[in-house]
Amino acid sequence: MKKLFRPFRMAAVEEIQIPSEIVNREALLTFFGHRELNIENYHKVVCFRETYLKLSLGSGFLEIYGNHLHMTYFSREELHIAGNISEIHFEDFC
Amino acid sequence: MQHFTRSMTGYVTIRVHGKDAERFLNLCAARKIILNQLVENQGYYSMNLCVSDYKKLQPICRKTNCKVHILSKHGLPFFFYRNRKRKAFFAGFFLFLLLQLFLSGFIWNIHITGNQINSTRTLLTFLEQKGVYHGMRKERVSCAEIASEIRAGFSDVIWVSSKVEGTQLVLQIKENMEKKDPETAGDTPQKQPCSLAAKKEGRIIKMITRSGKPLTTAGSLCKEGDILVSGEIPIMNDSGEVVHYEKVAADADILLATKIYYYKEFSRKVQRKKYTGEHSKRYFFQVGGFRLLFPAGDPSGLWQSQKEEQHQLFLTENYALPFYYGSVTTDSYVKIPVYYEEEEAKAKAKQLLTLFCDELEKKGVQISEKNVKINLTDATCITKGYLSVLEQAVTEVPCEPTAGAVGKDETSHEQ
Repeated sequence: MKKLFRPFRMAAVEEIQIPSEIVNREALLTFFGHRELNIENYHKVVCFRETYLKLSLGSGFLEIYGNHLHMTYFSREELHIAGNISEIHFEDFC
Repeated sequence: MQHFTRSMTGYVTIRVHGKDAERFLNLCAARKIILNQLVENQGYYSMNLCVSDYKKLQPICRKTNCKVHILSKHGLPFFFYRNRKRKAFFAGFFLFLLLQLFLSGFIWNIHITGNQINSTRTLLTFLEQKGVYHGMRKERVSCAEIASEIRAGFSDVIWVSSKVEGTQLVLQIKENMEKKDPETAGDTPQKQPCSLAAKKEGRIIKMITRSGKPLTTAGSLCKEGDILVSGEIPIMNDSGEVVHYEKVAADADILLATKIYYYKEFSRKVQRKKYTGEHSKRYFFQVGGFRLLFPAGDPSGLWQSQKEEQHQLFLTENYALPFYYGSVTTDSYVKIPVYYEEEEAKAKAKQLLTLFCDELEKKGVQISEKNVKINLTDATCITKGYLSVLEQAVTEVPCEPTAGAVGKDETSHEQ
């Protein structure tokens, strides 16, 4: 039912120009060069290693590769990653 | 700022390990526990979290089978606990807090903005006379009273806002920047009736009368004190008889050709300073009237010229302390007798005359002719003669009967 109404909802959101990350709770990624990354609206942490971080974004997964990765800030709404980020990869459910 | 807040409340660095460490992190996020500096190292996770959040970790650890170890404790509460046996430190700390509490009850700075006509120093001196000064108690400050006193004391201040911010008294001032033009201003008082009299003896070159009755014409001679424009205008009836006199403030542009006597004498033997090159700079610190010089002692040399640079110390923006610092630069010189040769003496005499003429021109006097001679003797140089000038040498005098006026012109028109 939810999937049925999704195109209508998207069309309505586009029409009234509301940011989609607010309506659909889509993840908002902000890069600061290749050393820092801020992620808002993430779902949960799947795996966290020094060279690899996998996050669930609700609609899919986000994989971050690099070295010396660490989270300078970690809360329910957002997390801030620092380190040498070499690659990011989106993995969709569908 | 965030780090400062965390340090004030205290935080711990912990190490978490277990099979389900990621779940541990997700549960922390779900329970609104904020983690900082989360690092993974060989299956162990180390992170910082505040003390109150640390107490919420026990059920999470039980659920996820993770073990938590405290690596270190940081922040003010832990610092106090570690130093709990140092009584003097705590005494000093609480004394500091008490002192701060006590000192925060005073005004330590008076900040004035918006003043352009009246200087900050003038306003501060005025406020001091009214009992508002640096170091006064905050309870004694009445903002409304200060504002009304400034408005009453300074006529050009049209708006004052006064407020106390912390230990600072902030005064915002708006001044009336528009200067009143006496000719255009409607509320200027009416000038008293008067006549215009000559200040000096001379010939009238130009005369433009705006108000009053001219008693002389251009080209006439006048003496000092002669009435040139009368402030009494005769009002006549149809028969040509004077009915009465109307008194007005006489106003006219009158240019008089006069002569100014010039005399200047100076000695041809003078003493000039010749600096020996001995230069010394000493620094000082002054408390009230007592001055401490570095290095001590007086510089050598019979004749010295001194240049002093002094700065005052301020506790706040406008709170001046009686402490001064600066430097004294001393240059030694000797006096050498110099004799002006003929050319030099004449050049100096001309220079002095030019200076005198420049001064006259600044006052609005036009110099039409110079009849000045330079006489040189062995000892002196004398410059004397007359300068023919054109100037507005008139003065206002109270209205008097016009009988004594020179060059009386019966046909002159009123303006």
